[in-house]
Amino acid sequence: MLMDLSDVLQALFGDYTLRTVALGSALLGIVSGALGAFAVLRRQSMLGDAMSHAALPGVVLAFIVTGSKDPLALMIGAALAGLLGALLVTAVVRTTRIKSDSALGLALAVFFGLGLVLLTYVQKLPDAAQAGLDRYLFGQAATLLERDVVAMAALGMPALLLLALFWKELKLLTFDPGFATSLGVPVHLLDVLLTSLLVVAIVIGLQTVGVVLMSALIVAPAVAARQWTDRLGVMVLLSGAFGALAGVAGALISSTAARLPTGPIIVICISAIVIVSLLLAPRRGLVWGWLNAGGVAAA
Amino acid sequence: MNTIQPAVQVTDLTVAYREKPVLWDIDLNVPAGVLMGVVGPNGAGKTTLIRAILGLVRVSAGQALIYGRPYAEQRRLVAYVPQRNSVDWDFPTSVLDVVMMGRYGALGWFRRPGRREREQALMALERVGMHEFARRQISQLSGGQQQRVFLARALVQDAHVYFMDEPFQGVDATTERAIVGLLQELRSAGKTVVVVHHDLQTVPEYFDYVTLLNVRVVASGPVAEVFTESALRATYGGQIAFLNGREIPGRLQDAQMGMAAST
Amino acid sequence: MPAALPQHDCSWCGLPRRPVNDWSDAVTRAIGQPGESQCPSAGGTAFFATLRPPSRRRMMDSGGRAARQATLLVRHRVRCVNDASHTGFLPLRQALQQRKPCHRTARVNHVPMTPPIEIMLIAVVTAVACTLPGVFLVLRGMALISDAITHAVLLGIVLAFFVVQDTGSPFLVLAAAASGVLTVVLIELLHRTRLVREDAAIGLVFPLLFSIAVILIARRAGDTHLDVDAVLLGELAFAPFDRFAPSGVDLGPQALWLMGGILVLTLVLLALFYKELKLATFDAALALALGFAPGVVHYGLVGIVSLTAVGAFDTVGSVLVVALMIAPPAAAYLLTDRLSRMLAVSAGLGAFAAVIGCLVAFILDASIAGAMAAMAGLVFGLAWLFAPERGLLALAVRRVRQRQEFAQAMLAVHLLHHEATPQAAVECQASHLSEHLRWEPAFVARVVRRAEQQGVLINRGNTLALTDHGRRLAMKTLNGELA
Repeated sequence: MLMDLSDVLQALFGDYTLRTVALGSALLGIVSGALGAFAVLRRQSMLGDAMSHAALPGVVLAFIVTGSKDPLALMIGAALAGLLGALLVTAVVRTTRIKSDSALGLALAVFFGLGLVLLTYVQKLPDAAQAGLDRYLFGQAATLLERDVVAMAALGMPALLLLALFWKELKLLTFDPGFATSLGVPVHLLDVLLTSLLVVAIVIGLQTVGVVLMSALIVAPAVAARQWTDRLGVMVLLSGAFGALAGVAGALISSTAARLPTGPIIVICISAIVIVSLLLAPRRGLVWGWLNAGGVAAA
Repeated sequence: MNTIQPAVQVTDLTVAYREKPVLWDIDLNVPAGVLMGVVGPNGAGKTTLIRAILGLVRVSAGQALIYGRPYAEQRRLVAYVPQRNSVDWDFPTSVLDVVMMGRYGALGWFRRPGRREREQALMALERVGMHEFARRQISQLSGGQQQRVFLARALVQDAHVYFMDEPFQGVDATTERAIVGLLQELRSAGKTVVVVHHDLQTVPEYFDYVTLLNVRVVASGPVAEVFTESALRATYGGQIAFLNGREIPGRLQDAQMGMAAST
Repeated sequence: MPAALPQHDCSWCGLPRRPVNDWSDAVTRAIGQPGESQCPSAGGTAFFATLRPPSRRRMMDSGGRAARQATLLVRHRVRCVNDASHTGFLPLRQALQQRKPCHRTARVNHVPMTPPIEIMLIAVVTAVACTLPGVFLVLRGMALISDAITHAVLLGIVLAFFVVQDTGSPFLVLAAAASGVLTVVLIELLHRTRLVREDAAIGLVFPLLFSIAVILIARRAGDTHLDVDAVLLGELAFAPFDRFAPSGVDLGPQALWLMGGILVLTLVLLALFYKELKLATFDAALALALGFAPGVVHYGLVGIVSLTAVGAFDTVGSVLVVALMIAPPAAAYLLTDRLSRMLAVSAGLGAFAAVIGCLVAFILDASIAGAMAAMAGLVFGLAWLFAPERGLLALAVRRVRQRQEFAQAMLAVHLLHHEATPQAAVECQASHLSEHLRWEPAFVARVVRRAEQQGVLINRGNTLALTDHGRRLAMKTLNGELA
């Protein structure tokens, strides 16, 4: 488990598999971190959780329909299921007196249950091709192939590009949707766009982190980044950087040391970053607060 | 009835939430160049009226026109100041950034705010006395300062008609006076300002026109003509407490009455 | 018979294929094709359910041996599962105990009920035990907190197991329940720093605790490897193997006793504190003023949810518990307005979803817990569509009707406003209504016709005039709205 830094670096640049794994994890960290910043600011942290769980039946159904484990097909299936989950949550909240927390919990658990039924059902099939679908539960970075990384880039790069293109409008939507509407900004369309981008960030991470813990990679980098800066642009960049850092570190640890599922390790890495940020970040950090309080008391 | 075209013309406007009417058949004219207060009890639909005019809520019937044309065609002529607590003040952005948002409508898609927008925003901040706060993070502002930032954002829109939702809520006395001064300055410059207000006591002092609203328009017109006890009784119904049955002819000056009404 | 069994090694784990007796023959047939180079563990999970009745009876007849064989099979599966390419789903308890001989199951001599019925019974008891606290979670807006709790109890279970080394210990249940409460405290502390909002705080805390637990299990399992997926899912199909048999007398599955006990405890607490719970849920401020401590109720509820989550862990796993806790109460919330009725309806819906879910899982040979969750979701979906008052269908019907009535009232108010005013000539013309009210001409025509039929107005050659009845309607509408 404890390799020397030089060993790690050598492994990183020398080993084709590791390079693929690191590249994929970095990609996923950047995309989910950047888009997660918007989700957290829009108080949709748990929507990410619901959508990532909801993606599971999409993965299995995509496999059943296409009969292959082509990463792009599985990701599209996951994305559609995730979006359907988000849509249902919105519809339930709008048309009933059920509050959003219940609607989210409902979508999360029911879709996940459905996914498990499909998954266990598929695993009974005589065809051995289904083997490995279960890695979508907790993720397995070691199984990332070049084609997976290509698929991740094919979805993630356009998502980041759209984020940059509509930056001004998305920022306004997140800060003050009422004012945005009064300016004539198509708020509903942008809302759909932002939710779709979040879904993209989620499906990119499914194979590496898994559906169960993917939401942490949406929420945690953004929370950590928020502590260090008061500017949205910087926050999004930092969030992406933190996500990438945690992704690469977690993926490397899990694929070099022991046969451990990657998801939990990445979560522990990003949580460590969050804890450090909450404690030490200048001005907002808790330690800063304690020091100030102590200084005032002493004075 | 004004013969010249009113700045805002609302006809037969009805708004319902879940088929329960919040505004009933509103007819309202706001002449150009006036400073109008919209008052009424809680739940009277004051905020909804403004939101309906701006197309933020679906209307069941009727329409609102800005200088004779639907709002969607006249967005550039209108600036909107939402309630201060409608946004998250912990959002990671600076005062200057928020003010520049006022230019986003004029900028259109894909264009980023540049130096010109920056200067306009700084000028607007100067007008509301917040020049030195430009680089501040917005969570470090007091309630009054937040309100001034919102006001600056509306100023930078350089509109003809301003809609403001409770701009005096949770604001210190100095800021309130400063805002009123600014509103009156806008009116003097020929702009039209519509303000949702809840303190009856200050109506005669602040505004020249007033609309008394309680689901319907009870009365609307110059303060001197419209702001009478009977109209207020009709608006506030039992919610108003008249002290000792004292009759106050014509305009209201009784401070306690204003306090009682605002509860 | 024994000769028909394949003797070669499992292609996944390299272990020789195991026992040769009449019973395992049945198991092998049920799980995979003999001669196929596939390890039994790659097969279905609910193998019990897939056994054909004769085999099932034979399995039962062999009594304790059957149970032991099943345990052997479980252990064999545990060896295989870490291979990334195939997975068996194991209940946590079996997984943790893999290194020790399964002493409890070995002692059992007699299995009284047939497993599918036992499975259903456990499912129903679990579902009902979940829905009761779930009602309060839904009403109090704590659904996502329950999600956090159910994940976090895993850490409590694992840590306590490391200390006491016995999965049967009641200490385990208590420690896990405590970890659930601790999670909620952590979330609130984090929220109170004002650096993180509540939703984000939830999303930060439980993934971390859950991840630590998963990694601890994975490391603990060492080279025999425990399947980490197991902790998510649980498996009801195995529940009948763990018998509750004090001094050798078999009293049924352990899970049934555990969940039954939790259910009884919940019911007792519910009966004792019903009034307080109700008050604290609907009016926390009043509850505080009356001297009930809403905080105590809050944490009491959190404690019960944690306890239920622990109990349900083996059987339904940590994610699907949330489905059983939220879906039936949410459905009941659309069906009834009374708290007592909501409790009863959710319990009924939960039990229904459990039974149907079991049946579906038996037929598909899929995850029972997953099927229960999916069925709970289906029950909610049906309630959402067809609930008599709040369903989408009822809503649509009512909206059409209300729109008509509302339009008529609106028309009456409009006419009243403009009666005897200078603009009346224009405003009250039928042909101008569409322009003024911005209604579709067809809609105006329909509303006017209907209003005329009901005697609200008379159409005097294009000019509409209210009747006395219409005037009263308009006044009533306005006064009603102003009151």
